[in-house]
Amino acid sequence: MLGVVFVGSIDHGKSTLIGRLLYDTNSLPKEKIEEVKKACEALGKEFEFAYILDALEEERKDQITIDMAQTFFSWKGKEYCIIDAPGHKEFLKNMLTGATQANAAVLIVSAKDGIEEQTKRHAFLLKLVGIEKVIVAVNKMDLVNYSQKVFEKVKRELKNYFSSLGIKACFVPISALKGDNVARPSEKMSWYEGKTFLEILQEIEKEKRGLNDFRMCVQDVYEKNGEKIYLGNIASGEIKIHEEVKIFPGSKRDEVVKILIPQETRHAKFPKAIGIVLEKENLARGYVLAKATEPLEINELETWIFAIDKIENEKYDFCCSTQKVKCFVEIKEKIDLNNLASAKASVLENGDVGRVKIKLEKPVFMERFAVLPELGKFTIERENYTIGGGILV
Amino acid sequence: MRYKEIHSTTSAQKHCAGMEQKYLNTFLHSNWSVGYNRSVNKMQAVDYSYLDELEARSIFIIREAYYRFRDKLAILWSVGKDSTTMLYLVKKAFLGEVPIPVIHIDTSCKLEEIYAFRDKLAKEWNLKLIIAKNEQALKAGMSPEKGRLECCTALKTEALRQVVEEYGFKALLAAIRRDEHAIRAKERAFSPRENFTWNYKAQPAELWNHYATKEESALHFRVHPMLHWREIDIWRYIKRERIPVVSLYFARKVNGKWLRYRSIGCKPCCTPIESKADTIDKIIEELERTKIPERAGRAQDKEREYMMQKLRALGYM
Amino acid sequence: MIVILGLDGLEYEYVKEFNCKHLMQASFGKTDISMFSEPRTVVIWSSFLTGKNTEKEALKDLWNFKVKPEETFFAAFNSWKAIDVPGFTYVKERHAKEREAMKKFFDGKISVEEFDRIAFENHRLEKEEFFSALEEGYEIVMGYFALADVIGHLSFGLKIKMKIIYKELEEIAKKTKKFAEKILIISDHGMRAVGRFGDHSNYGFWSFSEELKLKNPKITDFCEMIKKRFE
Repeated sequence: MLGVVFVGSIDHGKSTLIGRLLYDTNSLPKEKIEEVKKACEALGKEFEFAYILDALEEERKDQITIDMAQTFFSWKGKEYCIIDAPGHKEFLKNMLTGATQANAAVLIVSAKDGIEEQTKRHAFLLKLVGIEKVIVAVNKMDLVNYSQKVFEKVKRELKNYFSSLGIKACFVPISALKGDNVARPSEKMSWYEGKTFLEILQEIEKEKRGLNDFRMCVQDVYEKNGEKIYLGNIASGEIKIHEEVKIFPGSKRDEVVKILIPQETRHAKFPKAIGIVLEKENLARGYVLAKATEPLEINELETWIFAIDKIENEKYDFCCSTQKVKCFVEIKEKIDLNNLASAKASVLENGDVGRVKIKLEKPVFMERFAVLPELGKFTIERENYTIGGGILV
Repeated sequence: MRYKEIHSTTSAQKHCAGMEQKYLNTFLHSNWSVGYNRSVNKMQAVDYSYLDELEARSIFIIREAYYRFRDKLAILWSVGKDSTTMLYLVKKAFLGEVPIPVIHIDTSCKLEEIYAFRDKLAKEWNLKLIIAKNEQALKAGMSPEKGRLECCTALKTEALRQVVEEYGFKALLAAIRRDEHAIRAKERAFSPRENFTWNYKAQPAELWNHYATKEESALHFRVHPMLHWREIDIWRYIKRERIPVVSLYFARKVNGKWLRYRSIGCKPCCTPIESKADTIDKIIEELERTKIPERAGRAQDKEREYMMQKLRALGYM
Repeated sequence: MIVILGLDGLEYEYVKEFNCKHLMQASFGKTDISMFSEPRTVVIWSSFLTGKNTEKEALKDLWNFKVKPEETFFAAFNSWKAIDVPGFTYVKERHAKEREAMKKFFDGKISVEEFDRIAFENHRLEKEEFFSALEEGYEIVMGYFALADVIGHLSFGLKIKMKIIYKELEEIAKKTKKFAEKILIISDHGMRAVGRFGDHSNYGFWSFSEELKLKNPKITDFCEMIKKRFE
C-alpha cells in the first residue's frame, strides 16, 4: 500500500482530482453511483462527472478543509491510500500529520491561479518530512485553454524552487474536471509528451530500505516469570538467538538469550514487534540495540526544522523513536519560503522553517533519514506537546 | 486453512484448485494466500506480508499506551471482530498475557452468542474482565423504544462513564478504523477527550509515530491501535492467525434465507445481511467484491424501521 | 389554457437548493397543510381539488376514494382533463404497483434499482399522457407526476440522485411553458430526509407563472383562485 498525501488548496481542485481518481479507477462506493447512473439512464440523461463531485462533496461537507482524511483505491494491482491534507496554514499540524504517514506526495497547483505562498510552503515541508517523490499536478488546464505556455511557466518557476531544495518532482498538466491526462491522455494537449497522472503514480515504488543491519529501540521493559523482557519494534535487519548485540548508549555488548514473538523463536526480522531477553545488561526505554555497524552518535546537530508552535532559544525535549533527551535549541535563521532567503531570527512560529543548532544533554543514536526513517526522524516537544520536527539528512 | 477448502465452483477457483499441490502448499504455509484480485478480475496469489507491518504498527501503539498509562489503561471490548483482533494484538504485545483490564459494555440485550463467546474467551485468555452495566437505567425500563439515541446514551455511554470513574481509568484502547466512516478518518492514534466529547476540530499533531500525550487531570485519552486497518485487512489477519470470532459473522440459514451479521451489537438494533459467506475465505471474497461500507447496514437499520412505521401510518403499506 | 402541474412530494428546500428556476416561476412558496392529521397524498389532493378538508371521508377507503367532478374546481370550466390525479382520476393499478414494490423493498425482496425502475416506467406514462393532453386544446389541464415522491421515499437523502429527479421535473415545467401562460405548480407535501429515506414534511410547495401575493396559503385556498382563473 502506497500512502500518497495530496497537498494543495481546495480552490486549486484537490478534491476534484481525488474524485476523478476514484471515478476513473472505479473505486467509488458502487451502490450510490449505480443508483444515480440508472436514474440518468431511465430519464434519458447523460451521467456527468459533476454528479460524482456532488456526491463526494456531500459526504465531506464542512469537514473538508479542517483535517486530513483517507480514501483507498487500487489500480493495476497496486493499492493506494490517499491522504487528503488541509492546505491552510492554520491547519499545518494536521497537514503534517498526514504527510508523515505518506511515502509520496501530490502537489496540486491551479494553472489559472498559479503558484501561491502556500504552494511553496507545502513543497518545503514535504522535503522536511523526508518525502522525495513529488508529483506536481498542474490542474484546471481547461480554464487556460490547455495552453502549453502557461504550463511551462508554472513548471519553470516551481522547478527552480524545487531544485534549490533538492527535490526531484514530476510535472503533469491535467484537468481533473474534464479528465484530461488523469487516467487517459488528453487530445487537447498533444504538445505534452509525458505520461498521464496515473501512469506516473504507478511507477512510484516504496523506497527500499538502505540499511540491512539490525536496529531496535527499546520501547518498554516487561517482567514475566521473573525475566526482564525488552519490548520494541525491529527497525531494520534481523536478529538470531545467541547473537551478540551492541547497546547504545554505552557501547556494551551482550548476548541475545531469548526472542519472543510472543512465542519463543530463533529468529526475527523487520518489521516485527518483539520481546528480547539479554544475558546480563539492564536496559530501559530509549536504549538502542545494533548489530554489525553502529548508529550515528549525535550530541549536537545543526539542521532545518519546521515549527508547528512557538519555538524559542530554549530547553526542550528531543525525541527520536523511543529516545527522549533534554536539549537546548538555538535558532540561527528563519527561511523565507517564497525566495528561500534566510534571515537571522530568535523565534519560530507555526508554519516557519528555520535553521537551528540543537545541543543534546545526552547522546541520541540516529541514522540518516534516507537510510532508516525510523531513526532519522525527530520531533521537538515541550512538556509532552509536539512543537516541531525534522529529519537527519 | 486446508487445501480442500479452496475447492469451489467458479472457473477461476477451479483453475487454482488445479494448480500443483506443491505450489499451493507453499502458499498456505507462508504469508501468501489465494485470493480474488478485483482489479485483475481473477484468482491470484495475494501477498499478505503487508499484514506484518500493520501488526507491528498496532503493537507499537499498544505498548506505547501501556508505557504511558500503565494501570490507568483499559481495553474496550465489544466482542466484535475488530476489538477481538485488537485484544489478540494486546496478547501478542505482552508475550501471551493481557495485563490490561478489559471492559465489556453490556446493554443486557446483546445477541446470545456474544455472551457465550465473551465468557469463553475471557476464561481461555485469562482476562481481567469488567462488565459495564447501567443497572439504574435498566431497572427504570430503558430500551430502544424510548429512542435509539437515548438508549445508547444511557446503556452504553453512561455505563462506560461510570466504570471509568470508578476505576479511575485515564485511557481506553478502542478498535476503531479509519475506513469505517468519513469522520473516523480524522481520528488520531492518541486522541484526547475532554469529558468524553471529541473535539475533532482541534486535534494534536501526530508526526510519524511520535505520540505526545499532554496529561492533565481532566483529560482522558482514546488510543486507537487499529486506525490503519481496513475491514478486509482484519479478516485476512483473522484468517492468518486463526483468531477466534463470534459465529454470528458466518452465514446460517434462517427461515429459508442465508443471513450473516456484518457488524454485531444489541438484538433489537442489529440486522443481518443476506449472504452465503459461511467461511472466512468466503467473507474475504465477498469483501473483495463489494464496495458497500460496513456501517452502512447499521445506520440504515434505525432509519429503515422508522420509515416502515411512517409509511404504514401514511397508508402506503 | 390553465395548466396545473401536480408534483407529488416536491420539496421547497430542494427546489431552492438545486436552483430550479422553471419550478420556482414568477412567485413561489410553501403551502399550509396543518389542517390534516397526517400529510396523506389522497387526502391532500382531493382537498386541493374541492377546497374542502376531505380527510374524514377519504380515510374510510383511502386508495379508492374519489371526489365527483361537480365537487371540484373543474366544474367551473367548459373543457378539462385531469390525468392520474389522486382521489379523482387516479390510475389505481399503476400506483398500487409502486406500493407493492415499496413493501417488497422493505421486506428485502427487491433492490432500490428495481423499485426505481417501476417508478420511472409510471413516470414515462404520466409524461406521455400529460403532453398529449396539452395538445388537445382543453381549457384547463391538470397533470400529475409522482416521481419525486416515489423515488424520494427511498432515496430523498441521496441528494445527487434527487438532483437528477428535480432536473427532470424542471424540464417538464419548462416544456409546459410553451403551451400555457397560466401555470400553477403545486405539491401536496414536501419531504424530509431520514438517513437515505424520505418522510413527508408538513408543508407543500406552490408556484405560479405570475406574481401572486400569497402568504402561506392553505391548500384548500387554491380552489377558489382556480375557479376565478387567477384574476
